[in-house]
Amino acid sequence: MIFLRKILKGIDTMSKYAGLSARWLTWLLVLVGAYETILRHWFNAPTVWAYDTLCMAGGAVYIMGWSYCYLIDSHVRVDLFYTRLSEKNKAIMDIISSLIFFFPLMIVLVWISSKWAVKAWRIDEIMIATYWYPPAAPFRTVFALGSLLLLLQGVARFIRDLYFVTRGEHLD
Amino acid sequence: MIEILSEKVITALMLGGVLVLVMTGFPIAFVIASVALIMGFLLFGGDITYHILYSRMYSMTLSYPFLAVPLFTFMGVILQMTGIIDELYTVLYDSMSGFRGGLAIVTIIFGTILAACLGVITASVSMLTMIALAPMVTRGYDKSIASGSVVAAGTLGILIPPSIMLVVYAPQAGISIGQMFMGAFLPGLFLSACYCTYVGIRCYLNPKLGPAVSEDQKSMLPFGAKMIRLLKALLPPLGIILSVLGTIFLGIAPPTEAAAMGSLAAVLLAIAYRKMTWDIAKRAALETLRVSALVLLIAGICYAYVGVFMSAGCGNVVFDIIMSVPGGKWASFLVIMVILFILGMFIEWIGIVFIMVPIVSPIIVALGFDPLWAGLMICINLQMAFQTPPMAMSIFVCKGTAPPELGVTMEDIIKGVVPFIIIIALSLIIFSIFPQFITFLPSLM
Repeated sequence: MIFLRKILKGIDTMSKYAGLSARWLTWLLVLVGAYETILRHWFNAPTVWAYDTLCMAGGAVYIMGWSYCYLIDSHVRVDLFYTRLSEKNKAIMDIISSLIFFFPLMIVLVWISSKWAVKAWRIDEIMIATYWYPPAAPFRTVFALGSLLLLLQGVARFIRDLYFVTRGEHLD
Repeated sequence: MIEILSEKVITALMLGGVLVLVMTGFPIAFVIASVALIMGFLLFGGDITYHILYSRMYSMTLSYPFLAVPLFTFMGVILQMTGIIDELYTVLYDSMSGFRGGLAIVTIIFGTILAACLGVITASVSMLTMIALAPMVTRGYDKSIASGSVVAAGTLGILIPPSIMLVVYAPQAGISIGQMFMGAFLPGLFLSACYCTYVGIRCYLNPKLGPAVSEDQKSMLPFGAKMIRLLKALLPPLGIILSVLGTIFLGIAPPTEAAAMGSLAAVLLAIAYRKMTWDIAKRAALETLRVSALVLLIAGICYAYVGVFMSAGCGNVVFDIIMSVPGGKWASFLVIMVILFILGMFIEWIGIVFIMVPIVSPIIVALGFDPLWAGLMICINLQMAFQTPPMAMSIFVCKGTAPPELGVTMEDIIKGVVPFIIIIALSLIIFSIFPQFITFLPSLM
């Protein structure tokens, strides 16, 4: 049990630090976004790198936030009936729902996003939205990592719910 | 087995599947994605479906227009955490509390200004509840009038630009976000004016609902000091509004960049007012990450869902059904509005906008309506749904944030909100007869 608890804590810590570190990119969005706007409109000197940098920074914010959101349980739920359930029934619902809606989906997503990340490194894929042509592999890797973290956080939730339902007490 | 399923059955399974299965209370993003995944798997096989899922989510996370979501959230969070617009409430309070119903009107006006600075309803309703509800209730205002004003004015936050809902709506319908922002302005102000009129008339007729505050409770400052205070209080909201909407309206920058400028302005103002701390810098960034991560997850997933839905030919099914409604184009439009209103009562707007707008937009164009006008009608309609009981985001937020010692009950809030809902419904009729309310400002751009 101590071993299991350590693993779950480890997953929590990873999700937490994914969120805590990626949050600084929101400041980057503000500063680079404003910098680009001012340069372009008042100095007529747009940068070549701002557009892709902003898109990738924003994307990293969302993707790294996914598992963090699941850690603090803030993904949107329709709680019309859910809020009226007891804690145990909520856990049972989540266990069943995870098996149907979460694991097949996330396994597919992790698998296909890793496949694309590997491919992007191998063929040196570039992004073609602007003339800057940055490599796509780092961002594809971030996507795969974020999906993997979300899957792991889902596993952690699942184990906790399962423990709670079978043992009647929280794992930690 | 795939060929046996007719398109109508697939449509029913996909839409019905989502509606029923989200009631499990599991995060809607995963439910919607799984419905798309399973149906796609059955219809097109694994490879194509996985590709739709991944490539659509991937491109959504790299979307430039949607960067306005984190940026506007950031701006709102900074304003909320530093409290640099709160002072305006005190100033308005001093000038208006002597009139019957004055505080409720102040609440609505302040809520309207808040709405022009924030983009998410949960933020504007909770902020308004915290600042404005207690002063009204402790001064003997009727709890229904007080809480109704708070909910209605707070919900304007999602309509009056900058609004995340408009940011998200516009690209789905192929409209420019800037035009949508400008179009939302007059209807938002019109609603706000109607709310004030309604509250004013009711309190004038029945002073018990909103008694005038006696002179001794007001601050006794000389006129000059008052003016300086007013200017100091007005500067932050005006600075924000000008930096964001000014840049968009004058065509200097698209909304994403205007949002970045607005965020920068909010940070600079917070520093100037000595309210910016390292702790706020950290918490604001984390809150922005949280909100934008959950919005963009649903966005990417709904984009994939709609991809499967459209590839399966379901768009045409919905198209045919709505076009075949008897009674001409207005009857079809009414059906769309009613469906969206009912959905809006049960499901969070993010899901509705991302799933329904791509399906409904081509129908609106085919019916011969102006997409910009129809888009705003839909947003006003959704805005109404958010405060309509039994399931209403705004009411829940208000109830959740209200200090318990005020004794404001759910019944008080619901009773107070109903007249405002009627006002919005009547306004929708007015905007249908006079579409200029919506189309005038965008036509100037």
